[in-house]
Amino acid sequence: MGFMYYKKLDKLLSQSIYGLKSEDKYPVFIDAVLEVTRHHYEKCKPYRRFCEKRMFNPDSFSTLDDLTYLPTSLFKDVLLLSVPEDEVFREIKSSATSTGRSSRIGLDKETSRRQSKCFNKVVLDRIGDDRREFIVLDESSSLGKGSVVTARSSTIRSLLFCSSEAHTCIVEENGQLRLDENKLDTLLKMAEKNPGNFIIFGFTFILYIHVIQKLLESGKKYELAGAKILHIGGWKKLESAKVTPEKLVSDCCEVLGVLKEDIVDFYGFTEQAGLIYPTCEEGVRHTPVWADVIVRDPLSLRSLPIREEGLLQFITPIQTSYPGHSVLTEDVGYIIGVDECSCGRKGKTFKVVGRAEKAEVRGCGDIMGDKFA
Amino acid sequence: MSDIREKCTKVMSKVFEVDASRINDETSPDSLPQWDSLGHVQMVLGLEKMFSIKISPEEGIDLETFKMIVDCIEKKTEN
Repeated sequence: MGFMYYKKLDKLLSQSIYGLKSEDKYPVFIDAVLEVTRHHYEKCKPYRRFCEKRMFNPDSFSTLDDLTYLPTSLFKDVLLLSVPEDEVFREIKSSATSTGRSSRIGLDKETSRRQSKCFNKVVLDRIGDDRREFIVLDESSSLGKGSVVTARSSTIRSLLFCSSEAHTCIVEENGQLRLDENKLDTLLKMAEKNPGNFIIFGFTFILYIHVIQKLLESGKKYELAGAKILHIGGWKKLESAKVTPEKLVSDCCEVLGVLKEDIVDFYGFTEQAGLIYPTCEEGVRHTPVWADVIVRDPLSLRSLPIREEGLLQFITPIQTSYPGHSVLTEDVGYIIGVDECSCGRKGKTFKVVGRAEKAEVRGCGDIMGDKFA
Repeated sequence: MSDIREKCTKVMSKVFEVDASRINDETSPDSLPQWDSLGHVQMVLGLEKMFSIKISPEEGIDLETFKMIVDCIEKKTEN
């Protein structure tokens, strides 16, 4: 079957990622969201039933606040689809959580390609359009192939599109993970010769607990000014270890000698795979032209004004194979401002401060942390 | 077959481990399951080496079919 043509979505995706002011972005954005919402309403029966129960009809919505949202728990166990099942060529499963239930996301080729393009554009905007060597804080099998992939290996593989080479430095022994300290030392010494050509990538918990903290303890230091550190996924365990994002940044600078603005913390979640929110040079996250964020009160679920903390809801029309276009997460955060960040990027700026208290531990870094010896 | 087409076919055939006869203008990640994100990077690196050129990550994103690859290399190797 040929690809569907989403005229308004295509128009949205052709806009500058962070170049539009709100008054220019929202007319184009809402048009595309409406187009895609209608598609899901027509093609995905469970989504339609969900909307009907909430008295929501795509033809009656006027503001993004009206758009019904699916909680992330709805993606667990059941594969929600807005395309025939035989068009799903890849399924992504989130990291297994403490309850053992992971989210299931079905991608057709069109959605997968669209997500990749959006992801790649955001990454390049943040780290620059150069091919670099990657030091991946993971094991080599995470770079493997397969039709059902874990979110963890999918994330790593997605990022390697801008690599010239990828090195790994974690080994698996008897089902447990272990950092190969000698190999990491060799790789970091190699990177010292031309730091600008290197990216160190890892899940947040692994980066801090198994690399930075160990280097702090050993007193080893490196001179890597110009190298970039990218990390993603799962702050819950670091919170319990009393490690704040600010501490992570200052400790990385101290032991690796990298510059503060070159440490990039990516936020994203499986239910909207392809959407990624890196911290900018000022340390905050921006919505690209194809996404929006709303903060909701955890009890009343009404939307909250700027600076007030609540649950984060993300809206994006980039998925057409499943109704992941409006998702209420269990992550807590707040909006800082709109179109006014001094880094120059437009869009809403926001901070993610943690997970709701009753939320399960999830996030690749946290789950992977359990596997360390 | 032009020299560029032949060399591009050679790179793709080697990276994706498929017979050269399976590669034509329309060949894309949709028709070749081996052409996934990692395969794509290996292919781009193979093309850079084969033609002694640089293909930036952004340029790499747009290489979605064999024809697009050949067009890109032709432009880059002009002169």
